[in-house]
Amino acid sequence: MPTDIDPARVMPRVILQSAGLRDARVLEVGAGDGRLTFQYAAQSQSVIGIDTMEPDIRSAVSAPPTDFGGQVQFLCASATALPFSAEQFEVVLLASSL
Amino acid sequence: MVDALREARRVLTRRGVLIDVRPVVAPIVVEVVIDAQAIWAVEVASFSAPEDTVAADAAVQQALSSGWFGFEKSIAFDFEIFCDTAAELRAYANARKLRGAEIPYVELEARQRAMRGEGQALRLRCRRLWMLSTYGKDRF
Repeated sequence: MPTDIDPARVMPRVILQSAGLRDARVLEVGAGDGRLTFQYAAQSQSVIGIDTMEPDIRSAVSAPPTDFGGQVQFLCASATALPFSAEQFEVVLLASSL
Repeated sequence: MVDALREARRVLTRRGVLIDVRPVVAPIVVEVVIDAQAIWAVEVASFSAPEDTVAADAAVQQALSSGWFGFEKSIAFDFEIFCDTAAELRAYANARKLRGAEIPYVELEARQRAMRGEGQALRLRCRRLWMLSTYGKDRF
């Protein structure tokens, strides 16, 4: 059996409880390979996940879950120079990235 | 880190929400489990990067005192990882900022081996406390 990370999906549940993501445009900073992103993204309007680790971003782009129906994009970008204009997101999620 | 918070504020809408979720500097609990029931456990110190946590907390405080965000709430929760072997746990720890945590891999292997001898299906569980905090922009 492979390593199971958060098999009870506690983290996405806590995220969804903490803020109204329905109809929200979400920016996830530190999205890595998208493991967390794909667990909550279907509950939001859209998610853009960024990370500075290009291999992780490539992995996220290439391997969405087969049953995933959300709007997700991944970009290689830095949290200190976000490639977005002002006031584009209702939620910014810093995923272990501070 | 302050620059990242400034950028987060810039791209958030007027009533947007910042969510900061990260591990807490606290002991990690490593357990041998059967069906999620712990039958042996040890607490180990986490030295993964306490200086990073101090710097992150300071950056958040600066953002709050500058009026960029207003604190809303915090929620603590356990983040769990299950592995079949100590080697798997070591690989996870090395890849996920747990490097330096004093996880007793040799003892874990020995415990697991001894208990497996009793015919039980065992796994290893690593539990770490995380904190999620939310901050509102222009809500205060």
